[in-house]
Amino acid sequence: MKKESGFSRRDAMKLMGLGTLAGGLYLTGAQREALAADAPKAPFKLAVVAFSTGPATSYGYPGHEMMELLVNHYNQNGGLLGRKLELSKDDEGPVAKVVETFKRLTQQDKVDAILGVASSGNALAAAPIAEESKTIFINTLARTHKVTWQNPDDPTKFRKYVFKAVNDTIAHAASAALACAKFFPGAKVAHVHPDYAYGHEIHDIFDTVLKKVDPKAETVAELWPKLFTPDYSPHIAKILSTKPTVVFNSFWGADSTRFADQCIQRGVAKHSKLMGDHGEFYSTEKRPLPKELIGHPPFPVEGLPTAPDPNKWPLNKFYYDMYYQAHQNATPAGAAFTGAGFLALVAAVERAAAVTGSWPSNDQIAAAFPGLAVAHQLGWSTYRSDGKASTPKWAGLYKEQKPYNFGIDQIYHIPMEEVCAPPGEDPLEWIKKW
Amino acid sequence: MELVFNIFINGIFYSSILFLMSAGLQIIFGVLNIINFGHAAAYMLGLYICYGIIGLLPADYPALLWMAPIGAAILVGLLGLLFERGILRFMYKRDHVFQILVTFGIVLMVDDIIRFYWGGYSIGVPPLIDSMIEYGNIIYPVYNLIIIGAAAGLAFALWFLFRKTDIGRVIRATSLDEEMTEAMGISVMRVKAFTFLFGSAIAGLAGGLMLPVTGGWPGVGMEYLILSFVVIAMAGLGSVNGALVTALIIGMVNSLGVQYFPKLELAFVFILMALILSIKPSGLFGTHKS
Repeated sequence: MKKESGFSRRDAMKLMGLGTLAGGLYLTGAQREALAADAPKAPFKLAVVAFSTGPATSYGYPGHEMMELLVNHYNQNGGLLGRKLELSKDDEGPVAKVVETFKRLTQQDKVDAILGVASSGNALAAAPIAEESKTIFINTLARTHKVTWQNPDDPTKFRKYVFKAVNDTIAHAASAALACAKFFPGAKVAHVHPDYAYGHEIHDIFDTVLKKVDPKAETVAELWPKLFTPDYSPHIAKILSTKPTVVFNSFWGADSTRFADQCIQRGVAKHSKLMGDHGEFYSTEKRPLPKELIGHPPFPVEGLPTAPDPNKWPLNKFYYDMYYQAHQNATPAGAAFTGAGFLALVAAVERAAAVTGSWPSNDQIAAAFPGLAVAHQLGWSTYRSDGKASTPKWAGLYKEQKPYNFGIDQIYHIPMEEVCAPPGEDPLEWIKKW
Repeated sequence: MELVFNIFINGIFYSSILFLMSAGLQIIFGVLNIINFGHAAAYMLGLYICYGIIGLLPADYPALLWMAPIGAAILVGLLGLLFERGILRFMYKRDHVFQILVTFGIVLMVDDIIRFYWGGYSIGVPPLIDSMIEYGNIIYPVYNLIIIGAAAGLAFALWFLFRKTDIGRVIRATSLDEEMTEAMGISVMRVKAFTFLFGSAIAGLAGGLMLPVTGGWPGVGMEYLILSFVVIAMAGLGSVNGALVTALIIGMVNSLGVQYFPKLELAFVFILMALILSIKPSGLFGTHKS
């Protein structure tokens, strides 16, 4: 029986059947040995492109770190089906740099697969380059819902070589609205979002969904500080004057912790619940979650160091420990997301190899994604016909949980079919039909 | 009442941050006639050195934490002196474009050094003092008041230095006429070196003090440099008094803008800047024709 508070042991066992390493479902031991014996001598070339400089480093750079760990781990254990992995790492930078990097990686370096890209604008610019060169691109960090579409205005035609490892902005914001309605019915919500496309989209979707699932909820403030604002005092004054139940924010990186710190200092956390990615980014800064935020809701996320429960989901413990041993820190979201994307690639290679009986081509690997089921640190994902992974989200309230920086209490496991538009539908239009 | 207090105190606090960041920039421009992008590097170094010192200090003696921003200011000042003597002094006669390239280059270098030494992640520390002032529904952190006090203290110290001391008079003389100052037997090179040390130390102090409020990340200095340029453009290049007044204006406009027109908060500051510069291109207190 599936429990609302998570997933049942039976679920866990079933999914663990997918293999402690992704793709285990698709090949027997004998098949692996045979494939390894005939594996091409040339390495399988991987690239990770994610911010390693600037304020977005907290989100992007963990992807570099996780890929390095995973590639080393696989190479020390005989490679991927007998083929060595070769990793190159690039800083993401602005859109012109990403375009240049993707052209170099696909045309000059001829990599087999690229993972990463945190900015939605960058991902949309990079996707056509990967598609044109038939290079697999797994977008592991950006939340744009259009990256797998052939045409940004047409949700019915999909790219063949571009995949998305995390849920999109729509599912992300809708999950937050569901969690808000569940934990704080009739909430007075103060919105504080960075003043760019992501922040506005999160606000609009959250607002739309919350009005439908909790008509008594109301918006009492809408604030739009620019990205990397040093001081939120004026915004906090506005928040204090509107006396909200929930302060919903979509800050990330240093913005997230800075906003939370300043809210705590000004007494906001005493009277209102801060809903945001705070625990995640305090961990990245190697700071414990402030005690003032215990009982406050995190922005629902695909997984956390304590969710799925590492005692019941060994993959969470395995990759957490791997990252912790290398960096003496909890696995940041950027690392776990990128790891999930990499394991999806591994699973696709093995699934394709199981069908072809030999090391698959890039075309065959790409064709193996739709319908792919993959277990990873964050839980499990299924890849849909539109190339997007659907990964369940975890909501709840922050609690203390040693030795981790925080845990999640009253876990609310959000089924993705409730918040993800079906393939072929524009999620923004779909959400309006709720 | 509560709202009025919040708008006022937030405006003052924001002004204080802007003044701490722009004061050193103004002093350096006033004397060296250089648009110093490297100020962002000094701010960033102050922040990270403060973070490093806090990590070294024993946690059992919180009073010692105050040594961190002061230590950061001293170290950044000395590093600034090294940069001025080693590189910048060769650029004084060069075109502004060269000066900008060199000072911007140092930002990139420091950015890389920070990433190499401290890593690419953002950093943060709790306030050096976590007390609050509570009055009715008003809660205000004491640390923010200390920053306001530091900015006010700096403004007074600069006024005193420039108006009441011989060193200040020499600096002012150098900014007005280098040749005449040299003819009076004063080493202009030394004055410039001291000024750069002093301006860099102020940036280092600002970085150290702001660490508990804003945290930091590689590249953080450039975020604040843009705001500092807005302040000095509106004030008039080289005017420290102007920087103080302009910082106060921007702080209050920002605080009111966020409260009543949140969707236009950033626009207000830049509209104000455009308005002032179109009426008085040299800035409110500026005398430079360029």
